[in-house]
Amino acid sequence: MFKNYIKIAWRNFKRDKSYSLINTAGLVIALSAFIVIGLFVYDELSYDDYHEDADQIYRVYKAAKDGDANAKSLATANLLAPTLEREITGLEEVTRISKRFAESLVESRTQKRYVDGLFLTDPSLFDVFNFSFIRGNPDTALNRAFTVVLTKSAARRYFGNQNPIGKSIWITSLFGKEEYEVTGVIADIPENSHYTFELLTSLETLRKTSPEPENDFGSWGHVGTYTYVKLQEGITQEEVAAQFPEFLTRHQGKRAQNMKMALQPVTDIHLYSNFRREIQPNSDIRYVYIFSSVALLILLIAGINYANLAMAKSADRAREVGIHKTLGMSKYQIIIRFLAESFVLCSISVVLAFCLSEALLPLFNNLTGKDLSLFDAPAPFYIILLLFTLVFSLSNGLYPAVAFSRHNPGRILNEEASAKKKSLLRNGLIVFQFTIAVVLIVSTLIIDRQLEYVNNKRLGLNEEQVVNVNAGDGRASDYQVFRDQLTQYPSIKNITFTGAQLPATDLMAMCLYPTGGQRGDTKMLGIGPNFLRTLEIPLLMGQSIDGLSFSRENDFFPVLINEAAMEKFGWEDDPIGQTFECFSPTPTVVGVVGDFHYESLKKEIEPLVLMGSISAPRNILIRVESESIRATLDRIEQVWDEVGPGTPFVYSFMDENYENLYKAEDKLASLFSYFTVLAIAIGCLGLFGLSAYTAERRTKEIGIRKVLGATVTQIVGLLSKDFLKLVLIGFTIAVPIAWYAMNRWLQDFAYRIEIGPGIFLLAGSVAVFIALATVSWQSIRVALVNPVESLRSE
Amino acid sequence: MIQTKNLKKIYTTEEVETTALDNVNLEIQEGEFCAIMGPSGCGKSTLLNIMGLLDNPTTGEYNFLGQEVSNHSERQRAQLRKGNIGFVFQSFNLIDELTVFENVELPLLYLGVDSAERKEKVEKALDRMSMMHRRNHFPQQLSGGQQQRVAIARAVVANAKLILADEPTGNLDSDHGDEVMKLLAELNEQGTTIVMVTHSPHDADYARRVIHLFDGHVVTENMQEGFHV
Repeated sequence: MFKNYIKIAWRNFKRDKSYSLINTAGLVIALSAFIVIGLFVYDELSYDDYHEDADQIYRVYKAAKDGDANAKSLATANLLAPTLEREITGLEEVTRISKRFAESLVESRTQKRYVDGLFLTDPSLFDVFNFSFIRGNPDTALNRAFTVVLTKSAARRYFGNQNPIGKSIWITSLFGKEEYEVTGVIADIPENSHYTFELLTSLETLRKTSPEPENDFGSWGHVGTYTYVKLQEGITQEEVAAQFPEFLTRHQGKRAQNMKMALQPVTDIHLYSNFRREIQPNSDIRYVYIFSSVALLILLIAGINYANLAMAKSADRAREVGIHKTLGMSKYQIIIRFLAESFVLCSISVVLAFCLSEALLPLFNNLTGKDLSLFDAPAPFYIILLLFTLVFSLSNGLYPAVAFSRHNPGRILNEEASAKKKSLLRNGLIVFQFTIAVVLIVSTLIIDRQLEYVNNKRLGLNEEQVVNVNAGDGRASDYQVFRDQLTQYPSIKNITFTGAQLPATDLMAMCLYPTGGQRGDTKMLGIGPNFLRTLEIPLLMGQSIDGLSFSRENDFFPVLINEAAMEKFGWEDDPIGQTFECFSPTPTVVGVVGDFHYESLKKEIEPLVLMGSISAPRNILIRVESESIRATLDRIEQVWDEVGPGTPFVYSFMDENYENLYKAEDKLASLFSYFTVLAIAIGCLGLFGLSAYTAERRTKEIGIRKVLGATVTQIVGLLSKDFLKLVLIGFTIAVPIAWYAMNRWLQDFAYRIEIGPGIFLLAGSVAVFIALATVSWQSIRVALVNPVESLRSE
Repeated sequence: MIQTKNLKKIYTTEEVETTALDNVNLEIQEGEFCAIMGPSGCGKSTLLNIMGLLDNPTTGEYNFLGQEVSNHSERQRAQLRKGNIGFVFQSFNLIDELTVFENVELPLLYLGVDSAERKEKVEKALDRMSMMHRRNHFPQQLSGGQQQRVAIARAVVANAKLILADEPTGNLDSDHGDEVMKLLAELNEQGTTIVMVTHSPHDADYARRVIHLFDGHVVTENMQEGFHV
């Protein structure tokens, strides 16, 4: 019998091709979105949970007692871990990770490349986290200085198919170039980790290379290490944290009054932790909520669309069901029959949705920077999806099934459908869909415009045609040779260097404060000669520091400040000659430069001190002629290879580096635009279904009106007017929601656009246009029917 | 008022061709009350639709108010229909969502009559049909006979010269049916031309002339001597 139902369902599917296609298209789009977003959410929620006992692993952080979010800090002293281990009960293991944020040059005999960040850690890392060893002994691999553990891919990269154990690699970092022995190979780190690396060196190395190891390891003041603990079985986070206040008082004395120490579950880090200096940038639980809601909403909309379309076809089906009933079909059989139909449609949709989502995944991965794949998804994901399909098809088929199975099928649907309650529900859905559509359109427009604004805002420097060459540890002598050789070429206009790449992400702040003024950190950037000229930054007062040098005898260190510093320190009248404390020889202001954006436009331009001489040329900035850039780059590379043999030529363009600051927002913008299209597409399907339904329901009325003299335009207007009202209500609801949400988003930027009415009007017009286009198709079709036909069908 | 010459209407589907009207030649003068009778499927309604400018004949000529209209476009037919022809249907065909007043008002709306004049005309028409007290009711709140009276009010509100009635009493009991027929007869008395399709010999008695159709042909035409008043 069931086979028979499926057969009939399939025939029905084929018979009403356009109806089936609209219905399937809606379901397929919605299910694909659901699958793709489901994979994304599943991945986001699974961060770090692959560690055995993940629920027992915590990271230690410090925070101000008053809860000031900016006062949270992950940086702990190296001294913390051994002290915790000694004094706090309930801890099974304690381990430390120290990360050098600057790039390090890693070389084997055959390979060399820059690695972003260098991890130094305790051997106990492998007792806290599960990193499975392929070669080497986890207990001893990192207990000596200058030892290194590689991941499998890194081992292959540096040593090919050879066994790397006992072999050497050389790492050039802040500490200079050192030889390290490979003592272990571990499996690659899963992508869903809050930190990933390709090599780990021992923290012991720091003890050997640091200029002041006693301070690094024996003082509470030297912070910069992440401390992780693993609790003993049965011990809770609260039990351990309860011991912290006393611990702090013991070691920090009075300072402990304003401070607290706390534990953060390792599985929460990726989604709930956004401190300064995270090991790697984390995501945000808000994105998980936003995307999950979008997926569910889309599915909900598609589901109700299905029911709407089923009702639109009710007249047909009622007659058919009536005949079946007269021939003896039972209520139960009718329900099964409609559920079977819904099941067939859903199954076809699921299969198609799998194909579509597989096709969409590369695009989605590209946008989210993830590496999701349908085939890698774990079993629970598929079980959830299958269950969902079943529930979805059941609930979708249930309304028509029950409605048709009732006593008088001919009347039920027509009557119920015209009932006020039902139409309120349907109209509510359309309003809901268009609210979402307008919010998404407005959001997309605002994100786009803000990004356009930050990308085009004058930065206070000329970032075009500037090549940024990564100079690694930057030996000053090499720089001079390099500069002298390059300046012979006419295509090179200017050359300088900085101590940190511009734009900077987290510029170093030093204890520089105006003499006699308020204490606090001021941002500092080391620059080379010709800095202002190369970047075309205006000098407002005084002179540049080119040609001036510091002198210990005269206690003179020439520095430049930006306008923001001049204003903040109240030096508008006489900035030249002002000095800073807490640095020797005394930094003395010789000139004021115009404000320029040295960081993202999300941040205000803060007081900045530009210091010459003290910085190694880590980033060489070369202003080039706009013609034949390719040839100029080749020339630079050639000179680079001659001057600094052995270090790879790694370059970027400064304007691109500025654009890259907003990569996350760019991705958000793209995702938003895709979801907008999706929401609108599904909204249109709903509207299309409903307008078909309305047109069918009003066929007689339209016939009468035409007989009485109504024109096609009048009929189309009549049918579209009602929908237009719904769209306008949706628009009205959407405006405050979108305004509020986007205003909050814009707060992330110190420099931002104003949200004017224009954007809302544009979004509203787009929504109205799309709605009218969708509805008109049906309205015109019905309006063109000869009234004789409409009245006969009655 | 109406003249047809060799009027033919053929419906074509994928497989069959059905001739609904075959060489129909008719002439109806202004002020006539004419009944069209015949078995189901003989082409009565098709003829009425063509006369009412709802449909075009396949071939043949149709002259309405002195104009040859058989090749008129939908737009031209609609234009000519407005204000000249009123319709009364078996199933009343009132719009459920509109009140009695609004239903009657519709033809005037489409004629572009201004609101004050509309009000006056609608009230007059409703008054004539004794339906003023029901002006704010919805169709479902009325009896069948009342609904048909509203439909007639709608047919006459724009001073139509011709009323086409398609089995106007088909859905009514005999008392209400008689009431409706009397109203139509009264309208005819006052000068409105009426063409009515009916199965009922009783209703046909109200007409001065009865045309019998069979298989798309006019078979007999007879003038009635002592018709009802």
